Amino acid sequence: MFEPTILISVVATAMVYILASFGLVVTYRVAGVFNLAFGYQAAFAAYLYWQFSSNSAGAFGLNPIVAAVLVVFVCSPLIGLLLQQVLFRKRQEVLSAIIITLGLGVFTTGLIEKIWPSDQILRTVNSVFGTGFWRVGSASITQNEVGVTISAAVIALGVYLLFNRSRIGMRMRAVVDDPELSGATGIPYVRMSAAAWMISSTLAGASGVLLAPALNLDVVLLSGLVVAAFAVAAFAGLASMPLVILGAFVLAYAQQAILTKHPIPGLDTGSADLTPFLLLALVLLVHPAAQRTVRVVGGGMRRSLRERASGNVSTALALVVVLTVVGLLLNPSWAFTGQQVAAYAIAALSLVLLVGASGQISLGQVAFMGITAVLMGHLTAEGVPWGVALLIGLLASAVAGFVLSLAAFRLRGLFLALISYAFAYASLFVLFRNQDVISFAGLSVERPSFLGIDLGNDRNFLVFAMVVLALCIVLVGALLRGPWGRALQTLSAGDSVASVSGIPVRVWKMAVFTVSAALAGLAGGISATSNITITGDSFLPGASIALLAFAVVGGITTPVGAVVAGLIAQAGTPVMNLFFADAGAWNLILFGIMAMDTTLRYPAGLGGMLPSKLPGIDRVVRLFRGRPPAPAAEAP
Amino acid sequence: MSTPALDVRDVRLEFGGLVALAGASFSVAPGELHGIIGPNGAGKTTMFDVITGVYRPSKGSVRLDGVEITSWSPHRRTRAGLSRSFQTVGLAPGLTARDNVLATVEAIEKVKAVVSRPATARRRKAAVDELLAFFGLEDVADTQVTDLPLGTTKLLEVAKVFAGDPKVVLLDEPFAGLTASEAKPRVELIAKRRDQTGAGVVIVEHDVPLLLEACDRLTVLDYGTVVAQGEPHQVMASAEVRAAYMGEVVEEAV
Repeated sequence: MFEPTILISVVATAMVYILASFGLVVTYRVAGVFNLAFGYQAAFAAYLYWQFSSNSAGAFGLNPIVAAVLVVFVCSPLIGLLLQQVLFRKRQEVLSAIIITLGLGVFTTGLIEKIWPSDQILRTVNSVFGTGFWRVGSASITQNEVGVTISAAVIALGVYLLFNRSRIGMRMRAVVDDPELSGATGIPYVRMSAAAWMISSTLAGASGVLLAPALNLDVVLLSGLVVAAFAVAAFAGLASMPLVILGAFVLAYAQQAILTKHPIPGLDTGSADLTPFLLLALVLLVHPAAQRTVRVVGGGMRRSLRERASGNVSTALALVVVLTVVGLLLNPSWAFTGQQVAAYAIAALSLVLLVGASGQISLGQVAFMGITAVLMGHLTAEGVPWGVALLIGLLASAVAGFVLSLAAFRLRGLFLALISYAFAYASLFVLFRNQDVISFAGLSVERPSFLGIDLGNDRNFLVFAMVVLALCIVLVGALLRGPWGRALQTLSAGDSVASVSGIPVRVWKMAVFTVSAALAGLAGGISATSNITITGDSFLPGASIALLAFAVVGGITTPVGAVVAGLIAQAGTPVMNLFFADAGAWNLILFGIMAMDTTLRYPAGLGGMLPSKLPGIDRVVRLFRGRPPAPAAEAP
Repeated sequence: MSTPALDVRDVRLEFGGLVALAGASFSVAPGELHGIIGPNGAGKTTMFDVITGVYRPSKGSVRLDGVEITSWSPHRRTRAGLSRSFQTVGLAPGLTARDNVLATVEAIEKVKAVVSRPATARRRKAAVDELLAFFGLEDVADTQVTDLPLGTTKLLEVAKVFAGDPKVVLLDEPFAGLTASEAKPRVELIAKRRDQTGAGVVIVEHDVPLLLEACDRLTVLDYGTVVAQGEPHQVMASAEVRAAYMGEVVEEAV
């Protein structure tokens, strides 16, 4: 058992987790949106609280309690209402909601950075409850922890009563049980979802303000709150109140235990951050209630896209040619950008197959990139030729993709997304941040000469990367146009439809995850070789979400969309830097808006705005193919 | 008597304490058009789910053309010649009408290649186009499913079910939402296709008069059991059926 000092800290943390998990579940169940930006909302509230309460220059210096009440009970509900009105007036499909809330998270990060630049002053947050403490024997208990515990308990009780005793709570629960039926009985979805967003935002605000003194306005740490909250919620099957409380305590206790008593050997203290994911993975794989709730969000997420995954490659190839030529004409530093564009486009292609065509989802794609990259680094250091190392790396990524596909047998939609995200986190701590795998100095992947071409030259490697990209486009295009494309798209209509159409669902899921992981691995190999040195933070899990968001913005149903995704993701910042002195924050704000706007209004992505066919190129392709041969004997 | 195309024997299925099917049996001869009717919750769709392998029955057996398939996976049954449509739309929204049907044909032929040989691809396309033309869908062959009106998608599902020359076809409310005059030509098309291919056809439908005209035999389900079976008009004349299926009518008559 812990001493009192640590015990009260566990209790305080658990109480905030309970608040956060209520907040997350409210929008998930009532409005059907899993809010990935929940933690960012909490971070924004924490900064707002600093603005109101701090005595630093530029801040308002209000009484902490007044500031907290203003932020939590006035600003936060208004923000929630605003979000609902702008983004969620209509019910969104799983993937759309993920991308929109992700865009919101990116936007909020940019906004925080713009309003409260991190490099100007060091901000410390005063606790709402003062800095005093009591002594209990040899231990000390801070006023902050006691205050957090009590106020979180009061708010949690308030929400519980609101849901179970009030009229609006009743009506919200009716929407949860059956949105269509409750709509028919006159309960307006829009009003209920507005109420849900206001409550959720209030809880995000409360979590942010209460956690801020402990986490010191660290946006990354605060944004991770969403995972802890969801782990707790999933543990409770998204329904049971006592289990929410139990889950929150289990998680807070486990994190504290890993931090203070039993650090996992060989891993840094970040392994405590892994605890929510472990809990989540465990719950998702064994908890029957979590499986049942899949149906709440189930359904093929491709329905949200409503676009045909098209195997049309001519526009994509034309764009690749243009990019190559431009990359060669500009000064050599742009050749590197071009290589990164190519690598990123290949990674986006892997999602065109997985998400765009077959309706599966992965938030762990960057882990596959990392696996190949790490293997290439080590193998080339041992003297294995670059091409062979790349091939072995691809195979390893493919195997990892195959393993992840086993989870896809049981999970769909959001749950599959989260388990793949957990996979990305696990890879980060076990592989990429493991000093035995990648040292502090980084891991280098030498550029070889390949088939007699010196790839050490940036321009040569640019051409090489673009050629690989072009081959991948042709491959994915052929897959999408042929029997694979038809089978995968039938899979996207749902497991039962696919199996009754004669399609062995498991085989195809394994196939698409494996091929997609191999493609992502190829992207990782190219990217690592382009960078020459990779570090432990080259493969952060957040990058996987960003990849998915860029792929959707570019257009996740077409190869050309993947190329556009690579272009905006990798060339966006260098281009912006030409025009703005401080592009970073603006970049985030702009991309956040783009992700939200594209998802809401242009489901085909930016790539969908380009002509889908270039008649001239098609004619050339036909010329090369020649006339179709006369009907021959039946193929075996 | 020759081997039935489909033979369902004493099938039983429970969900927890709820008995969905309580030992129901029926069989369909090759080329037979067999109707299944019954009140809501009688177990009609559940029967289809058991036949296609969505659920495993706790007792009883399902035979396809004399072969015991009770423990087979759904896709294996489809490949063996048992196909089915859904009450809700069971098509891939992102594909064209032709590609939807083609996907089934390729699945039945167990195609694994990324690119088919041109000759094979042409043969399959010709077969699919013939099927689409048979059901009057040739004009929408290249239209994406999301752009089709609901009535047309229902017809496309019927066409898709006949892809790959199945031995048995199960149609779950294929005429839902259609008027009698719209449904009639579709029944005739199904009957004609059945004549051409010799497939056994099972139709679950609410529109009883329609089935009375079209079906060779009729099975009435209620509370998961078969309450009557046989020639349609005789079945409908039996008192038990009237009681089960149109309880109110009987009461009025009494």
